[in-house]
Parts: sequence; structure tokens; C-alpha cells
Amino acid sequence: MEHSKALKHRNLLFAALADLLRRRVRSMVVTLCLTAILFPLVTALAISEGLRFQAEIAVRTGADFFVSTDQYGGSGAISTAFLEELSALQGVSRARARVIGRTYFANRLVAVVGIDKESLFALKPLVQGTLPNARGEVLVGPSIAEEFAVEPGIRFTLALNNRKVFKSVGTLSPTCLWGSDVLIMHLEDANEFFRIKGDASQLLLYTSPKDAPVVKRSLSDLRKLKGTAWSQVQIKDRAHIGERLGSGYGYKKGIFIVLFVVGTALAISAFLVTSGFGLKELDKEIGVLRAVGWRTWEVLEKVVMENLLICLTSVSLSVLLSMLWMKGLNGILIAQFYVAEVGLIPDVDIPSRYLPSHALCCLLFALGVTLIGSLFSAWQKAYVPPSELMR
Amino acid sequence: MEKHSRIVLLFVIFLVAITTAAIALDMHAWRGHKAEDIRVFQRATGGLGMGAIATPIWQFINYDARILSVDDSITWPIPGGYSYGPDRTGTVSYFEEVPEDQWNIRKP
Repeated sequence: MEHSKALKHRNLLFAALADLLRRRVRSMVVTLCLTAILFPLVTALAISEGLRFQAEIAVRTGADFFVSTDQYGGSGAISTAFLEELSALQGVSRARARVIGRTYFANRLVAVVGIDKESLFALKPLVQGTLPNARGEVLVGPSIAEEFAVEPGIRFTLALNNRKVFKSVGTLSPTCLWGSDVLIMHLEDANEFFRIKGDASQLLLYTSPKDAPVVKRSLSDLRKLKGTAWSQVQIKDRAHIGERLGSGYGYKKGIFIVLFVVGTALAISAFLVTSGFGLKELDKEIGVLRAVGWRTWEVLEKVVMENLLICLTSVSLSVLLSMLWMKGLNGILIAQFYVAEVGLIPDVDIPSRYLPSHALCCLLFALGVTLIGSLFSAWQKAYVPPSELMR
Repeated sequence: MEKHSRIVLLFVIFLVAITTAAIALDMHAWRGHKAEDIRVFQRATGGLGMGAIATPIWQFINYDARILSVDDSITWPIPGGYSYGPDRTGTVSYFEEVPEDQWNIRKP
């Protein structure tokens, strides 16, 4: 009994395959149409997931608290004099200062990162060359090093403060998107470059998960000290940043809406083709099947199998094509739609991470698009007398 | 006809198999040394970067909302009232300004 059932499904599968082959052009048009719809969607999901993965590491391995000042409603520099008091807070295991700024390297906008000696030393596994030791020595991001051929030993000045002479001593290996266009230097060098003395962009506090609430409470108490410099302090904690990361990469924003709208609009054509719009041949075919004794569910199962085969092929092709484009060609021509201002030929590594859920999401989307039309149409025709359909 | 059908079926199975293998390999690569290199960089810098933007082109919020959590591009006096910030469109992430510390407001 089970064997005969399995045989029946097998026969239906081969009947579906035979139909797909018989209507070769239609099958190929639908497959290519679906692949074209799914390709940008798969790519967007992969880039978003790649960036999100990198950003999650940035949040998890970064500091627990970021302290700056409130200046005219925005984030402002904070005096490093606070560092001593902050590091003495109960539960704080480490406190350090950093400078994050931006400037132009020739015509390229770069992030300037000033960190302490200990942190610079931690970058050792990623550096080709040597670590900055003396003042003025810097590490150059891989994209800048490649574009401007900045090799270790080269001295340069930047337009923002051309009295400050830098010497490149090493190049960073490519790690993440935000490590591409950076200049990493001693904290004091960054301050000298930006002509700010004794300040930092942020003070970073490290604590254990257990002590985090204690530190948060202590920081809140310090902020309540009205009339002191502490009242102007701005604090961001890891949990808050984590929340923002989730919403920042949420599907409600950005390109996803556009992609889905475009995808659905394009899907209409696939929907019309699969639903047999204008194909008298389909009516006749269902009429013949009904006349030779096929039941309604058998007709419907065959239609589902046809669409499943088309959708599996389309999803696989779109994932493979997207992977080839992203990994092999680094998202040439398309990356700029997802990562702002990287240009037609990106010179930064565009991250892309493919997950089974992406393929599954695309499969469900494709099945939804194709089945809505074809299944309903086939179900309607299966109830029409065969003689009428074959006429 | 059945021979051709078999070939098509095998082709679909082959496509699905290599797609599954490719996804599995990609997931494995992300867990390995790639992630460790990112960790080293992020530990040293204290956490740098959040959004789909390689450099803080217009402002920091979409590059890293920790550095500047305020969207000041909308407050600049631009004729026409729109933002020139190129990082505000065309990305797979977007960090908007979140109201903070509202509990400080007290009714008189």
C-alpha cells in the first residue's frame, strides 16, 4: 500500500518534469525571472548579515561603557582628567581613552583612531610591518595603503594639519569594513593632529557582566552631581548599543523595502506566466488529465511539484550567482546599492554572509509568488467539465 | 522522455546540493579566522563601526552610533530642507537618532 502511494507520487513528479520539458521556453522564462527577482534579495540579505555579524563582534568585544560630554546636544570631547576617577569606580576593570575623528587622506575620507600604547600592541597579529612605537608613527588601513601605495617608511602630512608629520610603519590586514579606511596612531598624536590637548573623543570603561549594573548606577549618580563637570557627561552602555544594532539592521528600514517592492512588481510577470495566463494549452492539458481519470488533488500535486522544481532551481541559481558576485567579484557594480559610497568597483572588502534561512526565505517567497497563481488557476479548471476544457 | 526527465531531476538535485554545500562552507569560514581577526581589531580600538558605511562620509551616526548618536545632518541649514548625507540612503542598515535620557524632564 505504502509502496503504491510512493509510486504514485513518483509518477506525478515525473509527469511534472515531463510537462516542464514540454513547455521548455515557459519553464526557462519563469526560472530566469524568479532568479532575477531573488538575486538582489539574496545579496541584500547576505551583505546585511555579514555587516551585522561584524557589528555584533564590534559591540561584544568593544567597551562596556562609552563616556563623552554633551556639547550643544551632540557628543563632544571629554577631558582625560575624568579617567582617574572613572577607573576607581567599583566594578571597573579597565578604563582608557580614545580619539575618533575624520580627515582626508588626499581625496579620500578616512577615520583617524588614536589609542593608547597597550591597545596598539594588541593589533600586532593584524599588522604587516611594525607597530607604532615613536611619536608620529601610524598604521594605515589596507584600502588606503593599496590605493595610494603607502608602504612602511613613507612619511606624509595631511591637509587638516600639515605641520604634523606622520610616518607609516605598518599596514593593517583586511578585517572588517570599518578597518579599511583608517589611520591608527598614538592617542597623543591624534590629539596633536586635531589640535586638542588633554581631551579624548570617548573614555572607554570595561567591566564584567556581573558588575555592569553597579557601574551603571555609579555613573548615573555621578551625572546627578549638578553644577559639576559630571552633569555634562553622556554615557552609552553596551545593552543600549546592542538594541540600536537590532533596529539598525531591521527589515523595516533601507533597501529591503525597495527590494521587496521591486521584487513583488517583477514577480507579477512570473505570476502571470505560471498561472497560465493566456495559455489555452493548459486548459486542454487539465481537461485531458481529468478525462483519463486524474483526480483534482493529483492535478494540484503535479502543479505544486512543477512549481517546487522551478523554485528550487531559481533559489539555488540566485544564491550561487550572488555568492560568485560577492565573493569572486567583491560585489562589483552592485555593492554600492547596499554599502554607501563604496563606488562601482569597491576597494574595501564587502562582507557577505549566507545563511540557510536566506535560502529558505527566498524559497517561500518564490513558492508563494508562483503557487498563488498556478494553484488557484489549476484548481478552478479542475472543476470545469473535461469536454469543455478540451474544446 | 523519462530519460530527459531524470537528467533534469538530477540537475535540480545537483544545484540544491552545491548551494547547500556553498552555504555551509561560507558559514564555517565566518566562524573561523575571519571572526578572530575582527575580534582582535575591535578589542584594540574599543569597538569601531556599526553600519553599512566604510567611512564617516557625512557624519558618524551611520558609521558608528556610539561615537555620535545624534543625527545632526538634518539640523544643518540646507536650502530645501533635505539632508545631503549620502549614508542616509541605499544601505542595508540605518541608525536613526533615538531619544535618550527623557526621564530627566520634570514637570514644574
